[in-house]
Order: sequence, then C-alpha cells, then structure tokens
Amino acid sequence: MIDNEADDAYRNQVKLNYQFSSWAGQTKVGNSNVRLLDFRIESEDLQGWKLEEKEELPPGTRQQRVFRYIHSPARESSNQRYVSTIFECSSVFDAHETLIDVVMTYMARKLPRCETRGLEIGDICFGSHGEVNLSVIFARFNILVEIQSAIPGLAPVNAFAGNVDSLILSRYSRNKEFHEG
Amino acid sequence: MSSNECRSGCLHTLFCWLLSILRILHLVSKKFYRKHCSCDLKLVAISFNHNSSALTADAINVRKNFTTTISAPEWTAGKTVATDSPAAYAIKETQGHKITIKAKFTISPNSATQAEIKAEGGGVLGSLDPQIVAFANGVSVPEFVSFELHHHTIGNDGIKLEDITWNWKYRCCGGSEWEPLQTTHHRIYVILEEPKLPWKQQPFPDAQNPWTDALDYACAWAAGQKNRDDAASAITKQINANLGLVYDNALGASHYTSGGLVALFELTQFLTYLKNGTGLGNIVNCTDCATITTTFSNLVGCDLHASKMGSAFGFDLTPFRGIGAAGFGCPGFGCGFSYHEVAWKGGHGNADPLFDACLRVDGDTNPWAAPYAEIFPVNIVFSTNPGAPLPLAVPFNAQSYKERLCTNDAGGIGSCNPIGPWPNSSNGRRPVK
Repeated sequence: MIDNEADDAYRNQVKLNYQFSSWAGQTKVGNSNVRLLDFRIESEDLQGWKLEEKEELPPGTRQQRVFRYIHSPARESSNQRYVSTIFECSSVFDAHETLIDVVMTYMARKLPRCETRGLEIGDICFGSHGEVNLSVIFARFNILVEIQSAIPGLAPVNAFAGNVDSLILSRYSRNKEFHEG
Repeated sequence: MSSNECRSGCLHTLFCWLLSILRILHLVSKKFYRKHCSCDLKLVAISFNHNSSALTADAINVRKNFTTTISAPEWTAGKTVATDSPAAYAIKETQGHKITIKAKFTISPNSATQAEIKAEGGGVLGSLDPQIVAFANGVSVPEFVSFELHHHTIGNDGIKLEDITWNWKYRCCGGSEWEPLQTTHHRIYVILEEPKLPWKQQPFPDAQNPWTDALDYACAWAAGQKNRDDAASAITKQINANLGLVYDNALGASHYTSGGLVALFELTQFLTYLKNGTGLGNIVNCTDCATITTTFSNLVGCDLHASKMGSAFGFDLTPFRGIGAAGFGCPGFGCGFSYHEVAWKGGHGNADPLFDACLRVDGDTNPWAAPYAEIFPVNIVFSTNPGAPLPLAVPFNAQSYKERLCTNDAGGIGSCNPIGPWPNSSNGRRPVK
C-alpha cells in the first residue's frame, strides 16, 4: 500500500507513535498462529442489535476479506448507529499491520489505549479522544475491527465493541485446535 | 376519402384549409376534420445521447447510480416524470456545434408518407422548429429523426439543472391546424465540460460514468457558475456549510472512503446521507471532505484531486473552524494533524491553489491569534512564500493557505509541506462505488 519514501517515513513514525513493536504479533489468548477463517457477523449474532446493512468490501493485500456492517439498537427509541469494518487478515501480524494502515489515515497523531478508557477488549485496542469512546479499533487474533459511531453526539461504542470481541472469542473457543493451526 | 388514405397536394391542402375554417366556425365537428385532414401520430421515443462515442453534438454518457444504467432512448412512451428522462450537456464541448436530439414516431394509416412535427417549450433546450418527417409502413424514416436544437441556451447561464417540458404538436395529410401530440418531461443537466476522473465517458456503460443521482446535487450546488474555479468554490462552500456534516473530533477518521483503506469513495452511501440523513452518518474527516469536493467538482468539469500535506511527524495547528463547529478552536484530539488532505489543483505544489471543505481559516492579518475573521479556503494558493524564515511577521497579508492553518513555527508552518495523493487513491481521484 505504501510506495514512496514520504509514506514510508510517515508509516514508521506512526508505528513509533503507537509503540507497535511492543504489541505486534502478540495475542492474549492462544498463540500468534491463530487464524479465524470466514468470520462474519450474522443478524442473530449480536442480541439487542439490529443488522441494517452488510456489505463486502474489496480486501487489501494483507486481508482475505473485508465486511462492513451497520447496526442499530433493536429498540426503536434509541438513535445509536454503528458502522463496523471487519478485516479478516491473513495472520495475526497482518492484522496488526492493517491496524497501522488504518490509523495512518486518522488525522489524530495518536490514540489512547482502550485500557486507559476502561475498555478491555482485543489483543490490542485503541479508543478515541474525548469524553467517551466514539470510535474504537482493535485486533483479536487475525481479525481487525474498526467501529465508528455514525451519529453526532455522545454514542459510546464500548458495549457494542465488547459484544463483537466476545463473538470473535466464542468462534475461536468453539474450535481452538483448528484455528491454532 | 377513405380512412386508410392520406391525400396530399395543393387541392387537398386547400380542402383542409377550408375545413379548418368551417371547424373554427363550428360548422364541422373535430371528428370530421380529423377524419379527412389528420392522422394518428404517436411519439414513441426520444434519444438525447444518440452518439455514445462523442459529446459535441448530443448529450454525454451518464448513468443513474452505481447499479442503474441509462441508455438511449432516454424517453419512451409511458414515462411521465422528468427524472426518468435525463440528459446532460457539456458547455465547452458543444459550443459552436449543432446539437441534435433524435425522435421516433409512428403513424396511422400506414399509407401516410409524411407529417409535420414541432415542439414548444423546452426550457434550456429550446423549442423544436417544425420539421417534415417522412414515414414508411407507419414508422418514421429514418427510424430516429434528428431535430436540431436551434434555440437552445446551453451555456448562457453556466451550470444548470432544469426540468423541461416539450409540448409536441403535429399536422399531417395537408392539415393546417397544429394538433397536440404529446407532452414530454426531461431533466436536463448543463455542466462546464466533460467530467474529469474518477468520472469517465468511456467505456460506456461503466460504473464510473457520471451519475445523475450525483449531478442532481453538483448542478444545484454550482448553479450559475461559469468557470471551474467558481464552480469548485461554490461546491466547497456547500459541503462545508450546508450539508450538516461534522468533523470527527474523536480521531479524525474517514467515514466515506474504503477498499484498500482510502481507495474508494462510498458515494452511494454519501448520496443516501444527503437524501435521508443516514448512509454512513454525518461525521467526516479531511479525506472525506477532499474526496467529496473532488468528486462533485470534477463531475461538472473541474479538474481537482485529493492530495495530502504534512510531514512524517505531522504538524501543529493554529485554531480553525472545523466543519460543523460553532467557532474557532482545535480538534478534540489536540492542536495537531498527522496529515491533512484537500482538493488541489495542478500538481499539488506550493503555488497550486486548493479547495478545503473541511475547515475555515482565519483570514485577517494575524492568523495565529484571536480575533478570527473566517474565510473559506477556496482557490487559495498553498503557500506564497514556502521558504520564508519563521516566525513570519505580523501583519501577514498573503492569501496563503498553510500559513493560516499552522502555528507560526517549525512544528507548524515548517512541517506542513505538499506530499501528494495517497498511493492507492487513483491519484486522488477515488473511484466511486
């Protein structure tokens, strides 16, 4: 994706900003060879959330497939709306490199670790600035998840992001041996 | 005269002229007049883009959106809504050329060999002068007959979106009275010149042909503009001020680009947002704003591309008014950008002007301190004096972009340099999807 010197220098600086070397290739559960295949979110997977849209996007070189989902609360009274982009990457390391690819496109120079915002999900996770997490990006195994609130105002993504992470973990637990290849 | 015959010649013309007078005097019925001096004519179809390989003498190649194509004939019998019969014309390419539409008719009785046809109204395309159309076996010859737009006003008012109506009329069999044939409605777009990338004229059909769903907005936002700079300025201001978009203060992430990260513009989703407020929401960053500006401006003939500025370390910001913000300040993530992206002209160099829909800058003689006199950064040079020693002196009078965006020091102005488009962004003209 990066093909010139300026972008290489920028990418290296972004890696420094995010302390990439301290977490790259590491997982909290299982080993660094874990690879979930064909991970998708179906409409019944996230209780309390209505799947409004699901679209497959063209994958990049590090990814097998990319899906975008739009969810809203099943309760009509709420106006929350979340856009999730789920990158199924070729490996744990590729998921972490893809995380750098994504945060490179953020105008913020650096994001806070989720742990500092009271959110413990993924192998590595970054939240947003401001009062609450309006956006979160985390990698769990070879799956990179970016969740953005698509409405103005304070619609924290923590609960929804936690549900997605639990879904990834449950898929892994169902067939550990297979995924650890 | 049998109803299957259609006489012609001076005698019959005189006969019909007399009948028409008798009809005016209510001495003969309309039915009687029609039986002897009329025929049954039908307008079957109208082609605006009758030559898909050129755009000098007809409408340009368009499609409705990513999934729906539009092909000639754009109007067919039964279409009653203007938006179902669209056509777009490029001012620059059609200037000085004969512009034509083509129409197909049928006639009965089959033996009728000619009829005279015209259309009144027509708005920007003008009325259609009376023209004798030949028929064989009940169908016009040639099947699609050319009508020159002698009275069009394409270009007089610059960029335009107009729903026009033609009241078609005809007379045949020597009839002297014009009779109503059909009323047709069409949506006409007038743009400055051939749309630039990501929009393409060839191949056709193709998902990157100009979308009328996008022209609906671009032509309204830039209505009346007669040159590319003014059109891009008007579009930039609309995006910044009138669409309800809000800057992503949480992290400055793109919400409307995707595919290899920032490779594609999610135009279908953005149009949904414009239509009903949903899509991918109203939160945007600079990449989104630069892409929206580039895509809609290039649709009406401008030649912009989304391009970055900054350095490996980013750069520091002086307070600005972000899109959707009430006043001047810094983003929620601090007074610095890792990079910034705008719609740029030329080769995105220091001397090249740019258009930034993402923010407004301080336009007064001290852009690094309050009070703030906001200006839209439209058609403003990136830097008039890029190598000047820092800090710059106040008063600062240059209409120069980066000096009004960055802090007056090495970490600001000194670290904000042209970089170029994202490597995977099709040279800053992201394909639409």
